[in-house]
Amino acid sequence: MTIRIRPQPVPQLEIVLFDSAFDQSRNLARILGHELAHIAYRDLSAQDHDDLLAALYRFEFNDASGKKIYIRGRNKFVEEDGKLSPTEDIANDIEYFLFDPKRLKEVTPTAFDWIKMHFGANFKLERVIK
Amino acid sequence: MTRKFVGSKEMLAALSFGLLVSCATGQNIPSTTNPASRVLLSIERVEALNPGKDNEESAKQLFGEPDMKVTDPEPGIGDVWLYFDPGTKATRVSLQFDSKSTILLAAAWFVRGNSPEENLKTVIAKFPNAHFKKREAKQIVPDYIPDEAYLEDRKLGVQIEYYQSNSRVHSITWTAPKTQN
Repeated sequence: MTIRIRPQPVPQLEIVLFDSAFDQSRNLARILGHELAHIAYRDLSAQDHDDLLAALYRFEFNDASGKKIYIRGRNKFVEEDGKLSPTEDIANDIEYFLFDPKRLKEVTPTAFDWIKMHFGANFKLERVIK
Repeated sequence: MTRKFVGSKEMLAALSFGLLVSCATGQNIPSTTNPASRVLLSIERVEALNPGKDNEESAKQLFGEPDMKVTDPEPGIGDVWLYFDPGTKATRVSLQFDSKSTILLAAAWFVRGNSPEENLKTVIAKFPNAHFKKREAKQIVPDYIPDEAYLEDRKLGVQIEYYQSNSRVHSITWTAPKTQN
């Protein structure tokens, strides 16, 4: 079984949840927070995108083969897969801001500060079901 | 176009492992410099470069010292120079050089907000002789399908990176023209 969610205000995007997301060992709200963070990242303005990459110490360049490479300016991440791409990094960081802010503040304080500044200190998931 | 974000990361992690490997190489933490004199960064200056002919010395004459130099951020990449917007750490220009010959391999201009180059049609019109082929960005992590796509004419040596959801251009890259597109 899969559940498809079309978050507002970008209904052309979908979050797809599979069975294991509903396992008792999993935190569904945390999973949703992470996936919604991907959408928040995509929705950033060009200026905010630049500011965020700087906060995450990511420096982008394009190589001659057409590949996009992000030079990492730091080695500590709240989750290891954050090393792979800025979008996964920020999705993890927003997830931790919502559910484990102490850990985020310890590991990547610049990301903590940016999220707090951008989304506000009271940034949280709301239960809105239509 | 419908884009999907897939929850339950573990479920797809194994399937996506092959895609992850190329991006999982170790990197040294780069250091930044503070160039004493900085020329104005502009797309015209980047367009004045000739990948395949220019080298580190001629690039330095045009742009000055870079804000950041990195060697082999991934194996075999060579020397990478980054120039930031003043007062920021946001890449505005990136240059890639062959480590041995110091020949310029690629020069990229990163488009920032409120500039004419944000408009995809405007940028395409800059290359009237191009025959672009579209390529979508590869999925790197299992739970996120990227929005980025590329218009490439390898024969001309041009690549335009843009977001498919809003057609906003993110970067333009010039490389040495290839014999085949």
